[in-house]
Amino acid sequence: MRPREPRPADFLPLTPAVLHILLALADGEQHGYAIAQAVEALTDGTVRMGPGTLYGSIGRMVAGGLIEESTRSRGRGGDDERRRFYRMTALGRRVLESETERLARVVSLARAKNVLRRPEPA
Amino acid sequence: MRAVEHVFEIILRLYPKEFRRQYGDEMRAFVHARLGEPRYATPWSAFAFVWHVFVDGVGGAVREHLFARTPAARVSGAAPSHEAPIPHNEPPEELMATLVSDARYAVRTLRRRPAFTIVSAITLALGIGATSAIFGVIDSMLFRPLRYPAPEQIVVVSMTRGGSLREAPAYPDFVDWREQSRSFQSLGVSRSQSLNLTGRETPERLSGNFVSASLLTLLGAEPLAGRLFAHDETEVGTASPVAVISEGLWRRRFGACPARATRKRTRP
Repeated sequence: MRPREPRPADFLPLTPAVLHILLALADGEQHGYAIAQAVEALTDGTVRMGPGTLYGSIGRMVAGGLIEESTRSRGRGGDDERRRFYRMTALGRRVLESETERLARVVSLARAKNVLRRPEPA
Repeated sequence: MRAVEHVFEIILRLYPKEFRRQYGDEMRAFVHARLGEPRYATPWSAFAFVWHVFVDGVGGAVREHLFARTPAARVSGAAPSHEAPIPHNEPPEELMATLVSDARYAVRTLRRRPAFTIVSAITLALGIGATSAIFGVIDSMLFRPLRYPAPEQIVVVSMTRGGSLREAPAYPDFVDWREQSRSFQSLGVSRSQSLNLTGRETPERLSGNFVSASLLTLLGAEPLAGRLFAHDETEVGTASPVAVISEGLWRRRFGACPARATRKRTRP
């Protein structure tokens, strides 16, 4: 019997590292160091990934089919030749959509229960 | 900078061989790029970075070894429902051979850089020593029970002034508590007091306490020599004030003489 295709729901909930890596790759392919920098910028420095967390997550995401190595040649544009570029797969994008929809539902629920602090007026 | 990369090289050896082959070079490039960032230019920020890399690296190595035993991809916070246990691909004897090979490589690397090895060993020794010392203090103060009989039944009773200030009661108050209290099996009282030891060749200022006879009894104190206080010897106006002295003072000033351990007058 052939194993069935993985569904986005199989991967939920995502770990914070995986979620942020997918968000960083939503704009296009990047190498690991650029992903870490993008995640820091996206989260105002609150999520800072070290090499162990970053490449451990990347390894499992590649194995799970959420991201793949890009065909872009190494060292192009003066980049360090040791760096590889990664991009999101179609499955990765569907997983990211499912996870953010799930989180949006959680936020709606929190808002309905009045447990979400309202943003400070500008 | 080079030292940090050497440390990271050792951390990298903790990872499974296959993971190192796949991502080792990228991780080295990552650390190298991070060290070049201006925010890690000061010694303190560089140290914070090393600490972060150490914690992240060691934690990551443990995770990868665990995941290497369950090769199904895990990217979620919970196990996917379709995930079934998959037998470990690497037999135990090969795993042991890998560990031995890694250990030999680590030893060879350390022998090639004796200065770095010595600095690392001293750093580890200081870190482990400081951690052990702090744990020893915390363990004895917070975790272990007090070394008295029935320590869970011992409480300190104090008086308050203005709702917050702790202070010892006056002795007549203590006598009233002792006579009227029904909540305690025994009550003792203590007040710290400096004392002069005289009548010897050299007078000496001592730190001590005025205590009631019941205090030493309820704390389960046993004299090394001589005896503890009799009840009437610690009452106000007693005709025969006596002292119980520490073993150190007994040996230092009285030559550990058993006859002199029994009774010694002191003058405040």
